[in-house]
Amino acid sequence: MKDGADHSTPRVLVIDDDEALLRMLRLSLASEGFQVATAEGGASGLEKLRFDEFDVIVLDLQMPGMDGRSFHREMVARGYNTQIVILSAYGAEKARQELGVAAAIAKPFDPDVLIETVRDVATASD
Amino acid sequence: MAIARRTDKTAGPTSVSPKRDALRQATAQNGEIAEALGASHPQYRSLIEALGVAAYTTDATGRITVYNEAAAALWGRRPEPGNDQWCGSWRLYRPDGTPMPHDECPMAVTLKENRPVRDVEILVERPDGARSFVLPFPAPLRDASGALIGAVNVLIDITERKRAVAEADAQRELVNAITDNMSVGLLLIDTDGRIQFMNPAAEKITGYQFEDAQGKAKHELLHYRHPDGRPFPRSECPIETANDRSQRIIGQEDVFVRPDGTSYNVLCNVAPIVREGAIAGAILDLRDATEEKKTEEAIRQSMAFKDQFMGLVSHELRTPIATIVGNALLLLRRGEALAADDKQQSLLDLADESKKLQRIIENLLLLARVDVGEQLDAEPLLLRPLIAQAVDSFQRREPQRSISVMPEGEVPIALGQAESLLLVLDNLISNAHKYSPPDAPIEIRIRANGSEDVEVCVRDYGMGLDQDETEAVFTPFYRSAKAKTHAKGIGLGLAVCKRVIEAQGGSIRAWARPEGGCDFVFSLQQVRES
Repeated sequence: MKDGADHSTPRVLVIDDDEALLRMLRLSLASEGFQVATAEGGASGLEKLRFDEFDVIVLDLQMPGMDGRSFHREMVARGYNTQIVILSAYGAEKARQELGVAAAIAKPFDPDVLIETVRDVATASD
Repeated sequence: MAIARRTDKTAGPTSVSPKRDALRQATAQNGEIAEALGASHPQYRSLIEALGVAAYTTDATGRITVYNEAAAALWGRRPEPGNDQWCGSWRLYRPDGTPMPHDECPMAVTLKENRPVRDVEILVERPDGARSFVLPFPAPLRDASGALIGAVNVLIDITERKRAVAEADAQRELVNAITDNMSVGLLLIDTDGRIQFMNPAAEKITGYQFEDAQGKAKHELLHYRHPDGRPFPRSECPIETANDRSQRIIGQEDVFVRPDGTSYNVLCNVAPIVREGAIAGAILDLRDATEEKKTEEAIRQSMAFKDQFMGLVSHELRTPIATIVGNALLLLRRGEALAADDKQQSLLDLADESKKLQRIIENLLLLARVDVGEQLDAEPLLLRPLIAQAVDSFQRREPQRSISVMPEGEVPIALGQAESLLLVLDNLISNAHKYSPPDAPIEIRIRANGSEDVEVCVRDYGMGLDQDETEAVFTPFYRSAKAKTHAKGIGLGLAVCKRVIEAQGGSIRAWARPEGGCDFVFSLQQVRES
């Protein structure tokens, strides 16, 4: 949580190449009071990081172009240390261990579980 | 050794005087020459007695004059001095088992030709039927003037020796049969690490003939280099040090070098050869592990492919499910709180993702069906309405995309299976859509190709294909580097198209147009009007 931010409205960046999934995630998280931004790939996710600060990034792994792992590598290289929740259909937990990030959720998932996880991670990073 | 006599068969070997009596008798019976050979040459007779091997003498006519106990034992009978001629044996045979008349025996040849005979084996049969292989050494006896006065013959029983040699030969043949035919390479090395033996399998594995490798240092010949090209000194070689320390090595994976310098993987065991308590060398068995390594690599690749494939399929199947489940739960739990537009979008996404999932599952199931060789029942069908149906269905999903259907001339009736062709058309249109800019049109041309086929061409104005990829794009789960960076997918659609079209007697090909964009053309058989 960044200085001056409202603790009740953590800012979340969701990066996934699937538009419909992004819409669902945006609605689910927003309905719980999160401020949500979305990006349809790693490259546009990095662009969002340039202009906004986030408490948590929800990150898909398999994406055309810059995938989740490449995004993470690039993000770290650029000095960002935003908490990450991996959201992937395959190998989510393995990737969490490899990348040493906060949490992992396997697709498909219950949106409430994602909401709780994002909230926990945002709180822990305060 | 006693001198035997015909008239005293029970005489013991220690009795000397009865033997002399016998000799006297024999001498009396055989006249002057016998007298000269037997009685008047006591030193010679003593020699016969003392020989310890079977020996006998004859006069110049071949009549036996003197024989010793060993000869009697060998023959199994006591010949009658002065009567038995040439040899005291009951029967004689050549080594091949054919009978040998006594007057053709080596002793007879010596006497008839007045010369010693050597290296002629005979088979002696005793009256009880027992046979012995014998090597005779007949030599003429001459008087001071050089005249032939008789002959002496020493008979060496070589039966045991021959049996031992035959056994050794049989053992050697057995060992050779084993080592020649085994697929494992065998190398015997001495304590200096020099090659003493190689079997044919070892020759095949190492690429060296034994003649070329014999006596050469195994390490410097076969094992002098690491796989990466660095020299591999003998002092670091576990096989060599094991040889020094009489250690066994089991299941060592190693890399050897062929005569042409190429490397190969081997799996080897090393065991010391111990002779009389001392290390005499080592036996090294080798298996060419190149194929095993290849198999391991293929398995590794296949596991990696499986991992990649599972990742892709999981992603493609689980992402729509995640959207469906997520939207359903969202509507269920928070539906009332959603704005009307959001609710509408959520329902639309639910429906669209369900259809998308259905298409993926249909593709996978159809691929599975045609992959196990199931033929699709083709029927006469009209392509124009079928294509219109596919386009309509696609445009409900993607209304912005411009798609035109362009029949060229009269479109004949085609032979095909409507349901699977709808999936093929949807795959080809989706593919064209996925890899084209949003404003680029998609054209579907239908035309007769001669009098045999009907062709359907789906043309896009998108990113195109490399010409060398036009075959590979139909391989299941193949995705070109360009496609991977451009759009998601699992490389399933085109593979399904190919299998499905071929399963109904048609064919499909891709064409990368030089000016850009692709044509995917499938052809089906025409139905001929009767």
